[in-house]
Order: sequence, then structure tokens, then C-alpha cells
Amino acid sequence: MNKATIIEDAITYIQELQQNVKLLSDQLLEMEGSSEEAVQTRSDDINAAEEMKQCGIMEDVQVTNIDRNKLWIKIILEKKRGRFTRLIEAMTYLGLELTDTNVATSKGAMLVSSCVEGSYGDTLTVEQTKDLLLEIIKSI
Amino acid sequence: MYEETGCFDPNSMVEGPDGLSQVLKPPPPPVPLMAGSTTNSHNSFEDNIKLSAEELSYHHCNPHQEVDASAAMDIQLQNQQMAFNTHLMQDSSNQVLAFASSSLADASYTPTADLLNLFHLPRCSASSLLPNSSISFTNPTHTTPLGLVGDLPMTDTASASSILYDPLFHLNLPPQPPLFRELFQSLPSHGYSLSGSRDSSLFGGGGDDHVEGSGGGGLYQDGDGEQQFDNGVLEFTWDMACMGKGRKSGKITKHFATERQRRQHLTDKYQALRDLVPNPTKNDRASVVGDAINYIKELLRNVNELKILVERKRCARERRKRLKTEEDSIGNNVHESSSIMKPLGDPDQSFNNGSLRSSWLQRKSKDTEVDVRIVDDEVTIKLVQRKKINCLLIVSKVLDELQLDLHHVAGGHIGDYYSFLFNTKIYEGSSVYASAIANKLIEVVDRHYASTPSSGCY
Repeated sequence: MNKATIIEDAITYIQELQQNVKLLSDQLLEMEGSSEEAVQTRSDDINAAEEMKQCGIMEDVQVTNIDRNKLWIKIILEKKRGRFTRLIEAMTYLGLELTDTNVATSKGAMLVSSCVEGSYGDTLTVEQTKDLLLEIIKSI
Repeated sequence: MYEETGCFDPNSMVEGPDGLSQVLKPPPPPVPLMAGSTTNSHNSFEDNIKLSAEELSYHHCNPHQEVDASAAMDIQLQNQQMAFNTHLMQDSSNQVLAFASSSLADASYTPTADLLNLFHLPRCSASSLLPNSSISFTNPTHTTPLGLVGDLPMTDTASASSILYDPLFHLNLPPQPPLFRELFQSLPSHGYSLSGSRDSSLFGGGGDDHVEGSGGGGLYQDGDGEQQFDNGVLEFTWDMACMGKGRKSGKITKHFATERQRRQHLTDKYQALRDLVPNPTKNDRASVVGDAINYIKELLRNVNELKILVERKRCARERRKRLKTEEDSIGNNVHESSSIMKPLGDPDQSFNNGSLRSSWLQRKSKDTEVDVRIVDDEVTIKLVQRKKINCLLIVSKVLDELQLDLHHVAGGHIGDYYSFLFNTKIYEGSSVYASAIANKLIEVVDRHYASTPSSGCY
């Protein structure tokens, strides 16, 4: 085998594999259309809520000040599908920018700890933020 | 028939059918150096061996020219034989030693004619060292250019060892040992392309593009190699079309009119390969090949992953159909239907036969890097974003769309980058796959970046 043939073979092989991938993914997409999975997710959420109650974890919000502009928040909430997204969305909308975030889930609860700054440059007070967050959690 | 073999490496000798193996050991006793015999006597073989043993230590003396030349040749041959490998040897019973001449560069060259005479030996009878083998040379001035090869007489094929006259030996080549060695080593597996040897089945294996460029190109420095070798024995032409022998794959061999065309063609191919790869890094050939290797591996992983997913889906579907028909047929039996409901819960797992689905790929765009790893149903996504956009929200949205359940997120602002690590689980029943995740993420993040002016960020 010389260089030219090796390169040629590589080219054809790559093209062949790419076609394979395309074929399989189209096939998968087509099969995707006919699946009924809604049942499962409901059960997940229900389990989460139950677990949380069992372990005695309560939803909670804590806010404290670090530095001049930064706040540090810690939120415990019940894990539900898509809830995290809604949380972030709400926070961003209300002008809270998450700088360094950490999210962990355990036993059906989600713990969000993050450093928060005001997106519009205004300083936030601890109390204001705490109230804001509590409201958010209730609404999502 | 020309046997395409290199020199023996005495250490890795294949056990010959005769005493050949013990002959071909490192220096003492010296390897049968048929080449370097004096012109005087036919039974100079033994003398020669003794000679070479003596002369081994000093090969720079030049008293008796012939002797010295032969001794030098002997020594050089031994050195060369140490270096070369036997794996080129096709048939252990037909062992051929080829005598490489390039190492003679440092020895004073005797004029061509004398050297040719040196080799003009009919068969030698076997010495005690080589019980059953015969050493023979053909008259190099034989009419057919490469007839020398065809004329090699062998006593019996099973135990013959013949020394082949190296075609290039007599040519007064400028001293180029390393390149020649390279050519020589490439020779057996690839063969020469020689203009005069079209019809001889001398060179097995396609010698087409290959020989020329590496060996020929190196050896004959400029394009005018033609002139040098016109001595009636062998002719190499520089700009020759490839002989195109024996290409097994069935592809059409290209015949290039010029060497430049061939080079151009090769460059085009490299470029084509580069274009196929999604993230080409550098422009040099080694990187192109390296990227191609990684890409092929990635494609193979993707194909495997998709196959598993398709299989799973199909199985699940069949199972559901089967259960449905069973349900219908059963009718009012409550107990039965409840027991049927259970297997519906895990159509995916039971099928897998213990093979864990796993895949991994990386995608890069101008400002974003995504690394997706999937093991079974857990997906780990690493995202590094070069500009100051807080992409946590969008990514989170995308993950929801892709039916990935966020279990853990860590990340934030590091210098000029945003870096995140997401640990997620695939919701059951979803058949999302690695490349889909990666592509979608990159697309969304880049789009978001494009839409927000950079000054708008904090």
C-alpha cells in the first residue's frame, strides 16, 4: 500500500461511514414518531416529591452578601422536569445574573448554590433578593 | 524467478532446511560471502572467507586492490546483513541473499569492468559450510536486462541459496548509503519499476506510484537520472509511467505522465481528506492524517451507538405490538392484563444483552467547544465557551428539549471563558444520541452568541 491508495481508501471509508450515520439517524428519527412515553415522566416526578417528603427536605432559600456587589444564594427546591430552566429564566428576567453555579440533586430535591450579581449593575439587598426568590419558587 | 528478498538478518533466521541456518550467524563464522571472491580461482570461496575474517578489522588498507575491494565488500555485506530483516523472505526454502553495494562508497571503486569480472563466476561448489546450497552468479552482461535473475541456476530448489547480483552495484552512484538503504528496504515488498522489464514477472506487487518517489526520487537526485545508467544492463527512467502491476483492489491504476502530476494528485487527495473532516486543525499532512484517524474512530462510535438505539427501538416496538395483540386476545381477564403491563416498563433494558451503550465525541466551533460522553443512559456534557455570554439558560432549555434530566451542574466564569459541566440522564424511552446533542448545543450557543452584541453582556 502506498500513500496515495491509503489516502484514497480513507476518503471512501469516511464517506461510507458518514452515509451510514445519516441512514441510521434518519431511521431512528422515523421510528421516533411512533413512541408513547408520556407515562414515564409523570411517575418520575411523583417519586421525587414523595422522596423529598420522606427525607424531610424542605424547600428553602438562603441569601447572603459576599463582596460589595455579589450575593450568594442557596436554593433547595423540589425537582421537577423543566423546573430548573424555569428558575433560571425567571431569575434572568428579574435581573439576577448567575456567575458561578452549582447544582446537585439528591433524593428528589435539587440544591442550587450560586453567586449572583445584578445584571443591570444595580446592587441588590439581601432581603429583596430573598423575597424575590421565594416568589419565583412558588410560581414555577 | 526473482525472489524478492532482502538480506538475512542472521539473528532472526528462519530455520533453513539445511545447514544454512547455522551458517548465517553473526561474524564468526562469516556469512557466505560469495560475492567477494577473487578472480583467480573458483574455489576461492573458502579462501575468501578466511580473508574476510582477517580483513575484518582493517578495511581501509588498500594494498591489493582486488582483495581489498572484495574484503571491503565482505565486511560491508556483513554489516548490511546485520541491518536488514528477513521478514521480506517469502519462501524459506529459497533463500536469496542480495548484495548491496551502496556501502562501498567509502572503498575505492574499481572500474566497472573489473567489478563485473569479479562477479563473473559460474557456480561454485558448495563449501563445507554450505552443504547443499549452491552459490551462483550469472553473467551480468547477459542480453536480457534482467535476465541475470532468470538465469540463476539452482541445484535444487529446496536448498539453494543464490546470491543475486545487485543491479545497481556496478553503477557509479554518488555515495548515498542511507537513501539507498531505504530504497533497498522498500524494494522487496514493492519492487522496481524498470523500463526494460515490462514483461518479466520479476516484480510482484504493484510497484506503481511508490518506488519512484521514495526510492527513485531519493536516489537519483535530479530528473536526469536517465543518463547515468545507460549501460545496457539496467535502465531507469525518471519520468516513466508506472508499470501498474498487480493491483489487487480492482481500482484503476493511474498512469501519470509526469512526476509533478503525481505529486499534484497526491496533494489534491490530502486536501480532499482534510475537507471531509469536521474540525481540521492544521494544514500539514501529518495533522490531516491524524484528524482523519480520529474522525474515523468517532464515526465508528457513532455508527455503533445508532445501531444500538435503532435496535432498541425496534425491539420495543415489536414488544408493544406483541403485547397489544395479546391484550386484545385476552379480553376481560383482569389478572392477565395487569401482568402484561409490567414488562412494558422495561422494554429497553431487557434487550441489551449486557452491551453497554457508550459513545463520545467532541465538537468545536469558533468560540465553543462541546464534549459529550454517553454511558448507558447517563450523559456528561462539557461546554466551554470563549466569549462572555451566560449560556446557562439556553443550554438548560436545550437540555430539556433533548429530554435530558439534569442531575448536576457545575461551572461558571473562568477568566475569559464560561465553562460548564452537566451531568444528565436520558429520560427513559428517549433515543437521543451523542452527535445530535453536540450539534444542537453548538448550534444553539452559536446562534445565541451571534444574536447578542458583546457589549450587552455584563
